[in-house]
Amino acid sequence: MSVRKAWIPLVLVLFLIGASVGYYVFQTFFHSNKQIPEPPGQQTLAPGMEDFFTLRLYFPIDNRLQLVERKVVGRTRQAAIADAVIEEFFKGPGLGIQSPVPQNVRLLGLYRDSAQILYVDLSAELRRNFQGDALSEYLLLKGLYESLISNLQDVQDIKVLVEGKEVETLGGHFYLKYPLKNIVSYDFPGDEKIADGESR
Amino acid sequence: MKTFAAIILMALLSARALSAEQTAEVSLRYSRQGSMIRVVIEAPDETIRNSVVHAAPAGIRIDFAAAFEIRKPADFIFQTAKSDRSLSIALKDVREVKTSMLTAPARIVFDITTSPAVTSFPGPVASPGPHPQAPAPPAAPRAGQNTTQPAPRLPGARVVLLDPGHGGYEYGIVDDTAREKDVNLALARDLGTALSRKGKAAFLTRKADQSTSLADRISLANAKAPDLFISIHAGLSPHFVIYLATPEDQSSDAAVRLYALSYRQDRYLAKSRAAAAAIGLSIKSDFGAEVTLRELPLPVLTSINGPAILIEYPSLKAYASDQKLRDKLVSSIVKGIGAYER
Repeated sequence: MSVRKAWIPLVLVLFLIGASVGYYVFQTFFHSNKQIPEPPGQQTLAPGMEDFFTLRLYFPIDNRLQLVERKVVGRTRQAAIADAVIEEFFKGPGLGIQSPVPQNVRLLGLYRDSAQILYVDLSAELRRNFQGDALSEYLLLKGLYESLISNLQDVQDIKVLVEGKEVETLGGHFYLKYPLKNIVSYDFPGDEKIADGESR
Repeated sequence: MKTFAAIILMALLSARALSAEQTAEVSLRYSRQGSMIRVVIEAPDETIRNSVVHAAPAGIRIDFAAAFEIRKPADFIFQTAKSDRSLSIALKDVREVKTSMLTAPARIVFDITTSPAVTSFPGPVASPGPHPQAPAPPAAPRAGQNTTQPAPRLPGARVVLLDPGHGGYEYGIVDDTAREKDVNLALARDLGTALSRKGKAAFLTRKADQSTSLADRISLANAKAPDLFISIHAGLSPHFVIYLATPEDQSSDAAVRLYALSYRQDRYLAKSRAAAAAIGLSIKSDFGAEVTLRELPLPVLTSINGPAILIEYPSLKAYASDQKLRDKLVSSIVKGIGAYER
């Protein structure tokens, strides 16, 4: 075999090695960020370093939403915070305060998709134990939405599932089969009394 | 040395090209059978599996995990809009969208039911007898018969569609002795009968204890095109509350509106408010009680193509057990509708 012919397999081997290394480098450093990263500052702390975390919860009370702040321990990851928000929200605003928040609702699952929609899977008690009129239902959905959005970073919208399924409505007044943002974006200004002189 | 450098450079360029993000091809096709349109979206398995679908009667949006190219027939039935990683399909006159994600081959199937083909429209409320001056109410389509056009308007008669809230497995408010769904139905039936006596054509969205979805109530209302739509519910307030739709939020951009829920009420807000005021005044006068107006984006109001209100009566228990109280409310609403027409 001449020296010139001996170069051909060497060139091919070098080319293949170069292409493989290059492919690995591009894949690793340019396309490996498809996983949704945890926002900065939300990494888990070392055991024993966990701190109190203040949750902002919005409860439907007296025909409006009222902010209640609660401190919980050791919730630093986004999923754990969402878990805590749901747990605390469904405990209700406190003893003796009337609210349409249904009781005994359990969180079955939390998922976040690539469009940053948080899927909240709740137990059937959400519907079964809800007793309310149209405004109560609206404020319950808005309270749940605001409580989650105000405590979580990078969540664009909230979608509620019941027992892992999409359901049309919570209490027969508002849709539950769509993400909540569009449904609860209206700020309820309060009631308007009908006056005797009211006419067309 | 130069040869080595050239080889390494070529290898790196090849690697860059090989590792470049693949653009998936997404193809759309559709077929139509009666009132049902089937839209099928086909793409590689991974593209379908990692997509997120949002489907509503107003539109469909599919978010893909990667960039894609779209291929669709020239006569594709709906308007589409494509951005880098999402595809929007604008729907019109659609009653329901059912979504299925299927495999082998991977595809997303949308079964889209269009509005005009409403089946099993409930007939008018039975009247105890024809009113001397009232023309006969329009014939009710038989169950299963398609109603493709709104019922013809009768001269001098007004069409009122009554919507008893809840029904079937959805009880509404419940106390020891009463269920909201039953009281709503009793009130709607009595109101329908009273309106028929006055020569109106009164219809109910449900005539028995049956589950009726919000989407079905809205479809029935828009197929019937009533002069007034009244939804009847119980409330937790100590007084009567009449709900009106909120004005459509114009601040959101076009893409959001495409994705937003169906909104048809804007044109009728003034008429709805007039009806609410007339009926509210009548109730206030008859009961000597406070009546409040409340605006909320309730789907059974915002999606109705005509004047629409929702009445909440207080004290479920009292209205469940007291026929005289129910009669008084019915009479008051009938008077209010009369005042609204004038």
